[in-house]
Amino acid sequence: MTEQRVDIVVLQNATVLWREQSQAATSAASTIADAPVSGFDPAVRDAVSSFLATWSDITKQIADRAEETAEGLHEGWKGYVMMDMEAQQEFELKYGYLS
Amino acid sequence: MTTIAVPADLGPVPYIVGNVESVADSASELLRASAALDDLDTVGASKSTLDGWEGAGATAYGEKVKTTTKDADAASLAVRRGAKAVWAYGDELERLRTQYDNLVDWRTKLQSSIDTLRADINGSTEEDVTALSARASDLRESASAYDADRDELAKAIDLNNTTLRNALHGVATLADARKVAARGDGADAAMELTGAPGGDATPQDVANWWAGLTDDQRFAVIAAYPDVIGAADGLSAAVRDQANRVLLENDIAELDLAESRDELSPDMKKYRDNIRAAQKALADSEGRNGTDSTTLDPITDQPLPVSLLLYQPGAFENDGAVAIAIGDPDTADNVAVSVPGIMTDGSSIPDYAANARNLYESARLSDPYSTSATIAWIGYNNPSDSDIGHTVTESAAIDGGERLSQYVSGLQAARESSPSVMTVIGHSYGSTTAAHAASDYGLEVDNLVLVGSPGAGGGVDSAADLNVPQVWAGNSSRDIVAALADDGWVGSHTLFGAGLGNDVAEDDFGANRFQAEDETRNSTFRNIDDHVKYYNRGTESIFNMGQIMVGDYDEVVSAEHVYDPWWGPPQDPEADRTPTATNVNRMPDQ
Repeated sequence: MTEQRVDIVVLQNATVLWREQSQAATSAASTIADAPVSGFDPAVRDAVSSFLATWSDITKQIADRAEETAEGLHEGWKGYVMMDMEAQQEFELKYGYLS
Repeated sequence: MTTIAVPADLGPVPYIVGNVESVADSASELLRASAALDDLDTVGASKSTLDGWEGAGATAYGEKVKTTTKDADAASLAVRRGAKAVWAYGDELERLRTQYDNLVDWRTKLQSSIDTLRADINGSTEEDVTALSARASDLRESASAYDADRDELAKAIDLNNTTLRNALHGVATLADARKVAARGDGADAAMELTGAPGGDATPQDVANWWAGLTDDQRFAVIAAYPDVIGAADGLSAAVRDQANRVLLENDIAELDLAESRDELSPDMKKYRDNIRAAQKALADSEGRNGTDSTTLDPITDQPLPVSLLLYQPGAFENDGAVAIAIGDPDTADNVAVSVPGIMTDGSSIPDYAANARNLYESARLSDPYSTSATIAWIGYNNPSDSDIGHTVTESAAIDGGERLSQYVSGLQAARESSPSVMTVIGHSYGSTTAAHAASDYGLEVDNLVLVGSPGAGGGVDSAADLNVPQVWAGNSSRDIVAALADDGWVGSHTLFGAGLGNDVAEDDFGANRFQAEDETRNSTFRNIDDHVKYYNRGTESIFNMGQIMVGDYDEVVSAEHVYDPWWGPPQDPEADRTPTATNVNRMPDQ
């Protein structure tokens, strides 16, 4: 079993950080998708549109993964807190400190 | 019968479809997106492990982050490559558009000459043949040259389209982008070169570094390091503006999204006002928020160039740092930097940008034959809100003075030649800051103007200690802050670090005092309202500051100095003078 150490404040801060990154990447995906194509020669518009669609999609996927990371951190934080509470309850139950 | 070979009717000029402005917008959007992805890459690389978290969960987190980060890096480079290609396409489109316009003009004239020749031949006699043949020969030669240019334009249009298609096709998939990323980021390599900003490089080092970069490297560092480039003293206004607008637009987009989801992060809540203020100041100055005559040049009636020269909404514990230029500081004959005083932070920039526009107007009216640029610079940690207690001491002014001096050196280094007149104007505590820049840090200016000044610092006895060619003082007799300075022989100088030095309007100090009263001043008492009128349109102060910054020193209306008689408190002769009537339509010098 690997060594474990956790400062749950670190998880909270990282959750906020990744949520911000997800928002930034989501905005970036919209920015790419909304970039104007009307100014291009019709001979290249399809190529430009295809490029924008491809990278908007990929950027959105990256944003979603950043959000998943934030969610994972948040769930992890909750898990550690719950585990700590359960450990406390187990301990107190075993030694009869609970009323 | 003689045959004269008249050129055939000319073919049409190949039509160019495209809108340069729209293409530039597209490139800007891609650049912004690339910067956001690069930011995610940077954050991910630095946060793939978290101090204070070890174990299987931490390992799983690290693996996921590494994958996301790697893809963000690849996507950033692909989108950047697309942005660069679109930018180059737009530049070429602009060049081709000019070529097209020239060809259309040429064709019109040439075709007219051919038509005239035909008409002349129809009405000619044998005697005219020699002259008509010569004209026909010339026209055939011209028509041939026209056809060659026409073909060249058609090929250039095709080539521009093909180049863009190929560039975009080169990064059509994530797999393509990963290959590009595997070769390394040119931006990182450029930032490791000697003189790159962000370290100990001087503004001149930074200017030299930039001059040595290729176009690709320049584009790359703006996309990947907009925060560093936007704040780099020594780079041109155009470059800093481009980088800072990338940052601002991304912040606005992120803020809009977070607000719509009601998910503002704690940090964003803190500096939201700074983001919105920068957005408003630019919109105000560019005339996008309604009619304001100061958004037009008073001489040419054209919109003013506006640049975002500094944008750090989270600087100084979220007080923010920001600077906006009116006019082009890279080329203007006269440049003035305005330094604000207490209670100023990033959210104050709309008001200070308005002041800069007023000063610009005054300078242009003072001398319509020279060009001017004015800069509202909120670039130091001046006392505001919770740190207001620092005001009574000079520590913030000393630190700000160093920053200001470096900033002005950066303006000088970014230019091909020094401006004819460089001026720094310090208002209130900003005058103390500007004075420290001059006395302690070698401020490179022709004029140092102190308005509403509570003093030039405890270490400055007189204007001579400021080591600049011209020192000017514009203290209103009704300004309560100007009364905070030490006066004359009963003054206590600085006491345990409190107080900001001698009265700069006093005769002993030796500055050139100019008239700075306002006809709306309080009839009797010093007060705070008269502390904030120096940049108002039509005032004595803005008129004189305009004359100073264009170097028309003879036009500056001087004021009698404060003096300190042995028999009583300091006397200000300006207190009894009737101020000049407000006039927002002062005519320019003839």
